[in-house]
Amino acid sequence: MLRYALRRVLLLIPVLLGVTLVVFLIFHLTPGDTVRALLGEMGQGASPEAVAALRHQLGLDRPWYVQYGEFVFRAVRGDFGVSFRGERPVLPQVLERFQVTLQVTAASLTLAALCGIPLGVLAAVRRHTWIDYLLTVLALLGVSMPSFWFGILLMHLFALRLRWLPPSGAESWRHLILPSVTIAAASIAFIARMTRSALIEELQEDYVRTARAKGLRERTVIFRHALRNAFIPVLTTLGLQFGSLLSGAVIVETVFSLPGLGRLAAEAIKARDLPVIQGAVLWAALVFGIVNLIVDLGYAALDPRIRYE
Amino acid sequence: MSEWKRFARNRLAVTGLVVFAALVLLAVLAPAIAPYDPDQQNWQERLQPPSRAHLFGTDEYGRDLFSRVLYGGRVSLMAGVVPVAGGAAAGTLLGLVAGYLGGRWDTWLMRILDILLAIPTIFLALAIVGTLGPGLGSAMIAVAVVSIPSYARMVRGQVLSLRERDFVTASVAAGAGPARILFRHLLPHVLSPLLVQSTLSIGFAILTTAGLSFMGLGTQPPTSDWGEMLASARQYLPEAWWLAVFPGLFVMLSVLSVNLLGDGLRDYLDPRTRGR
Repeated sequence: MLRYALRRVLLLIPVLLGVTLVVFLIFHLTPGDTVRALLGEMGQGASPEAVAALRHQLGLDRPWYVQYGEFVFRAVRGDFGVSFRGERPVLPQVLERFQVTLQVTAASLTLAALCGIPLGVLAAVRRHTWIDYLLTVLALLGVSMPSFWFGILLMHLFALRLRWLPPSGAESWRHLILPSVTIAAASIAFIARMTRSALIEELQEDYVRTARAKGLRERTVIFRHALRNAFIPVLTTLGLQFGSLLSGAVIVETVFSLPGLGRLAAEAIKARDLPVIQGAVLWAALVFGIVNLIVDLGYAALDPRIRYE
Repeated sequence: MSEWKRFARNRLAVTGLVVFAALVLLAVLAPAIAPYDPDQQNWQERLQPPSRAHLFGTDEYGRDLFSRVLYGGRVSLMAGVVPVAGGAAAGTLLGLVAGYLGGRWDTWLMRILDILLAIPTIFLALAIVGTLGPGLGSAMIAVAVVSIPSYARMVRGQVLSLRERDFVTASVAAGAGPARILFRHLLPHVLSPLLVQSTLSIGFAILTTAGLSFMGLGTQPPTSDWGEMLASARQYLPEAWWLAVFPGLFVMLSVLSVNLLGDGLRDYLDPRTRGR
C-alpha cells in the first residue's frame, strides 16, 4: 500500500509541472498587452518609456523560458508572485479566498453524500417505484438547471421573502447554508443515481444470494455485504463530484457575494491582474490533483485487488 | 420500420428535439416575434410585473423582458452551438491523428490532454478568459478549448480499435494516403459517437457560457444573454422576481431539451440497443 501511495504521489509531480507550463504559456501567449492596460488603469500616460520601464520592472522583457524557470522555482517555495494591483503577494490572497470556497465545497459535498447515498439505496431497494422515478426526473433536472439560477431562487425565497437566512456574505456558518444547498442540489441526484446502479449490480451477485440463503436479515445483506462493495464506484463518484462542486462553488459565489476563489479570479480577470489569475488556477489544479490522489488511495484501501496489480 | 419511426419511439427524445427546435426558432425569428425593441428604454414602465402588454414584465430600464429573452436566446444558443462545433472539430482532428499515427505523437498528445484534464474545467476556462480578456468571444473559445480533451480521447479510442481492421489495411494496400484514410475511411465510423457527445455538450456549453456571463466575464452590456440578464436581475430581488425567473427558465429548458435529445440519440445510434 505504501509503495502504491508513493508511486501515485510521484506521478503527480510531472502532471503538476505540466500544469504550470500550460498555465504559464496561456498567460504568456497573451495578445493584449498587460503592461499597457495596467498603465492605463493607473491613469498614467502609456509613453513608450513608461511601458518599457514597467515591463522591465515586472520582468516581462526576458525570454519566456527564463521567466518560466523562475516562476516554477519560486512557486515550489510558495512564492506565487506579486499582484499587479496593490502589490500584495498572490499566495496569501489565494489561500484566504480559497478557505471560503473550500468551506462551501466541503459542506456541499457532505450534504450531497449524506442525502444522495441513502436516496440511492432507497431507489435500488425500491426499484421501479415512484421514489425511483422521482430520482430519475430530479437527476435530469439537476444537470440541466443552472446552479446560479437555482441559487437566486433559493436566495429569493429563504433570504429575501421568508428572511430565515442571510442573503449574502460569509460572516457565519448560517451564511454558508444557502450556497451549500445550491451547489449540492445537482450532486445529490447524481450521487443517488450512481449509488442506485452500483447497488443494483451488487445485489445481483452470487454472494448476496448466499447471504440471503444463510438467512441473514435483508438489512444486513444490503448494508454489510452489498453496499460495502458498491461503495467503490460511489467513492469514485464522490471524488469526481468534488471537481464539479468546486466549479459550482466558483460560479455560485457570485450569487451570494461570497469572497471566494471564483470571485477573486473574476475580479482579477476584469483588472487583467495576471499573477492573481495564474495563482488561483494553479492552486485549484493542485487541490484537484491532491483530491484525485486521495480518492485513488481510498479506492485502493477499499479494494485490495488494486494494490497488487 | 423507417429510421425516423424508430427514433420517434423515444418520446422524451422527440420532445427534446421539438422544444429545442422551438427555442432556436424563437431566437432566429426574434425580430419578427418580439413585440418591442429589446433595447427600447421606457422610464414610465420600469419594473412592471408580467401583464398582457408585457408578457414577462419589464426590467429596470422599462425594457420588455419577453423581447429581451428572445434576443438573448440568439446569443445564448449560439454560445451553446459554436464552441461545441469548434471543440469537436479540433478534438476530432487531434484524436484521429493521435490514434492513427500512434507512437510518439500519440504519447505526447495524450500527455498534453491529461495535463489539461488535471485543471478543473472552470479554472481552465477562467485562465483562458483571463488571457483573452472578458467577452463573449473569449467565453466561447474557453468552452471550446476545455471540451477538446474529451473529444480527442473518444475519437482516439475509436480509431485505435478500427486501425487494424481489414478495410484500413485494404486501403493502405490500394495506395491511399493517411489523409484519405483518416477522413474518408475512419472519420465516418466515429460520426455517430461524435454526434451524441456533441449534442450532450451543447447543454454544458450553454450552462458554462451563461455562467461566465453571469460572473461578468462573458457577454458585455449593452449586448445581453440569459446569464447576463440573471446577473442584473439579482439586484432587483425580491420585488422584481420575474427578472430572475424567465431567463433562467429558458436556460433550463434549452439545456434539458438538448440533453433529452442527446440521450435519445445515444440510445438510437448505439448498436447494442438497436432493434430492441
